[in-house]
Amino acid sequence: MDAPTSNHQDDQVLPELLTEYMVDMKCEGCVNAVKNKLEAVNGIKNVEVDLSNQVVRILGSSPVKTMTEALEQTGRKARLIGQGVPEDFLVSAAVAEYKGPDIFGVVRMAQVNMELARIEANFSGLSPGKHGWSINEFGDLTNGPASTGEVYNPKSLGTAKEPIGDLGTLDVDDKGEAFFSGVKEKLRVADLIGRSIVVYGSEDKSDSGITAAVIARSAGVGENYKKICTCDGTTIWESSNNDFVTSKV
Amino acid sequence: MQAAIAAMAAHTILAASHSSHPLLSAFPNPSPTTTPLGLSSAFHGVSLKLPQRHPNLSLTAVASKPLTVVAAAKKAVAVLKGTSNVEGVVTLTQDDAGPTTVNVRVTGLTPGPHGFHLHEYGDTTNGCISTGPHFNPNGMTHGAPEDEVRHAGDLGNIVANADGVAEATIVDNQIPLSGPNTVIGRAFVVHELEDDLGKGGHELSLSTGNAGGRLACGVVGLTPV
Repeated sequence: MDAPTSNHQDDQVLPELLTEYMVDMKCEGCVNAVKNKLEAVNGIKNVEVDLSNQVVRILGSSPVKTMTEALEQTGRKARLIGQGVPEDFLVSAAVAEYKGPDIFGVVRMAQVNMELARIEANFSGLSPGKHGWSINEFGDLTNGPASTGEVYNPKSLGTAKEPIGDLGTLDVDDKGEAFFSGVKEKLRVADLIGRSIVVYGSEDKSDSGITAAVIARSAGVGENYKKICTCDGTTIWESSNNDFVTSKV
Repeated sequence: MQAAIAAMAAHTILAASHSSHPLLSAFPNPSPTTTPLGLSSAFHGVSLKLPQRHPNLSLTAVASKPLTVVAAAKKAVAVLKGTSNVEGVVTLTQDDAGPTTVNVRVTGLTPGPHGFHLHEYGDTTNGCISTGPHFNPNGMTHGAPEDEVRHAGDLGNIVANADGVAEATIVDNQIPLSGPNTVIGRAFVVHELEDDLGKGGHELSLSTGNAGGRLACGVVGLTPV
């Protein structure tokens, strides 16, 4: 695995968070293998496993990307199913997904405390170099990024110079991939639901952007243990974020 | 689960009331007797009665009346995409606390009825699984939109014509655009098959309407009014 371009805001340690995965484990041996692997990961503080539900609950400051890779290295399928700090926050997790046809990505947001949200983003299919990105006030994609309005900036929180929704710049590597993991102060995930995250063609955020995705509600910890889609029998192991991807004609 | 939804709901109320502050402060003393546009007595009658039932709502309504109804209307939109050629746009509008009007246009379908539901989460990172169940804040079983026992997210079927285009206008009371059970940030899903509205006798009828796989999906986003 090549090291991705990382972009740790202020280079600070991420605040701790609970992240829940469903992992294809069938025996106590698997549980130990998964636990041992995760506990060796930098930043992971505690790992709890519920074998009957195949759920692994991780407390720590590691990025989702690192934890997912560690789980995959155990040779088991793993799917993130919830994130947040239970009982403390009302809407704790949100996700924005970019489904192509050219640019793909997932941005996850999780409320850490009243003043702070964690943001993690993975993108592919961008042109190498710097790309601005921001939270915009509307989640209206009828005209793509052009219908998402201005950068989100409630008067009570932000200033004209530094809008709350300004997420800075993504560093995209030669393969067109970008990874971001950091925190943003004053962001309340609950207030962002239904808005959008826009990525721009360059550092300049005055154009309308090249891709946008709606900030959607996502399950918090312990909220979605669904394992099979009862509509058609698809299991969680057969599902991925390639579902609902726009077909390339 | 229920606790989390209730908590989420409580927060949404807070957020909603907070966002209306600028509006309220712009009209600090909404009084029927000093209405700037000199509205008729019928309007006075309405505004005097409302405070007894919904103090907060009536304040907003009274304050916004002189500016037309813009401030009281809410709008949202979802752009639906799928793995096949199915795509569409769903627009939602709601005035005050009235029913929500949903305008649906989906193309690329096979002719005939297709289940049309709102799911709890707008997250498709694990495909259908991460969207959770049908949006169901009241813990009911699956049903038809007109049934009393139904998920709030049960919007029945949309019917595609011979060209594969389904157009529908749905007016519904259980899918508000603000408050405890707001649909913002959740996902619309169009299914492969007809939703039997809980009456098909299949083991899945009471949970999903036995509507088969999912063709397209879109997250409900905020849009300018």
